[in-house]
Amino acid sequence: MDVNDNKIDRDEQRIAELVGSLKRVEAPGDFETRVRARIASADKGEHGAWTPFLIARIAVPAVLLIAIGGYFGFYALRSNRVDTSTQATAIEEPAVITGTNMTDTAAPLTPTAANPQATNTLAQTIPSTDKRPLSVGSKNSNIGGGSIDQASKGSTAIFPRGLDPNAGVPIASVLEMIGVDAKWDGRSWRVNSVAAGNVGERSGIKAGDVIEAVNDRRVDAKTVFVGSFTSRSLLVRRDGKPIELTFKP
Amino acid sequence: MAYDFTAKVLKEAKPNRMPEPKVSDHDLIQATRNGDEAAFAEIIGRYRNAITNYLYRFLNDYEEAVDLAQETFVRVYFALDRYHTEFAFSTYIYRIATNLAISELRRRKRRRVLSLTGLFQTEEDSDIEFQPADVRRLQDVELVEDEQSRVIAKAIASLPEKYRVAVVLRDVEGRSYEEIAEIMELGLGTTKSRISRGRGILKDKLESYF
Repeated sequence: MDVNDNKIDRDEQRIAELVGSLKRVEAPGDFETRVRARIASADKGEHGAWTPFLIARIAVPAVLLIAIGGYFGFYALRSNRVDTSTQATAIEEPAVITGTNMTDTAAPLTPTAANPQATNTLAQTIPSTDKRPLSVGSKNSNIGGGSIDQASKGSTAIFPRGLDPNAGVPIASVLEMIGVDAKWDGRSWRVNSVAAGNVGERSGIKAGDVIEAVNDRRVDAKTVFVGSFTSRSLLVRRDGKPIELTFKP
Repeated sequence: MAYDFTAKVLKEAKPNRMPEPKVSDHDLIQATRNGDEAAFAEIIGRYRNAITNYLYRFLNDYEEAVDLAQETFVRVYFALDRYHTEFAFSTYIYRIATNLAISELRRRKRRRVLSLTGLFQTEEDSDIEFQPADVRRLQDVELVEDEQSRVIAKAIASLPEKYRVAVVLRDVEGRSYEEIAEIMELGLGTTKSRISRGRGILKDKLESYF
């Protein structure tokens, strides 16, 4: 042990000698002059020229952070507002897009007094869970049709599944939802059959009926219901006679 | 009242064998604070060779060493008000020089990381400082070093910085363990350990000289 320790000491001593044997260098003759020059230039502010750079190095990232934080904060708040407003507008009147030129084909019909108390809604044909407003982050995945991504898009209103105003619901889908099998025969929607126990049957729709209007608005092959709406009435032509029916959920 | 040095004859201190000065460093610092430029000139005269040599052995680049040595004195000058006399001035100035040298090494390392060579560097290699050969001609000092000196200098330059500081301060500059511990802001035991470890690495590199 001592032998090893001594060897280590000798090795270290030898290294110290080798390193210590290196020739020393000296500062150049104008060393002091150059130091003075640097000090003088620093006094004139040249040495402190780093200050703007330091400020920039701190300020630029800080501004970027604030901008990014503000961006996400703004849209998060805006998304919350849109979510709230969705609840308030869930029972608004529908927007109907008909054909390629709505003004030509979607002329409103004259309202009748036959169904003044009509309260049945198309929305009621949709499972009740789908009518609840979207709750972002909810553990119930069946609620709503949105997502965190959608919620973060401030400009996108979040509607229950199937009532996305941007998606639209074609007339064919509406009829299918109420259990009516109808086809466009080139001029009108003709009912082939009505599923038993469904809204269509309860509302009085029968095979052979020609569906002319929904909620007092004429429908054609390309009619699309935009957004959620309250459905009140259905105008059909049966044996050449117009009959106004009431939706019965 | 400013301390007048103009009439004094002050011998330039020889590096590593500095004679006991007639006027202490603290007095010179105090005089400089009071506006005596000659006192600061004396400070420069006492330490310029030692700091230049220290930085040269640390960086293995004479021009860079001179540049950082000058910067060291500039930093000292502008930090005179913050200097506390409970520390030896030599400790203070070596600490500034060490920090500048380490910053320079890290700057070199960052530059190296951006190079293609850095992409293929292994974890083990990263702890070893790589010093490219300085092919520039020395303008102010003519250095004629023999083969052994160049090998030793290269070996020192390849030490990791934490060992290099300790070994150069101890074996090149001849500073005491206590002073090195203060310069490196480490405990005495850690300082001795680093010196020993640094020498051990050097021994492996300088095997042929044993």
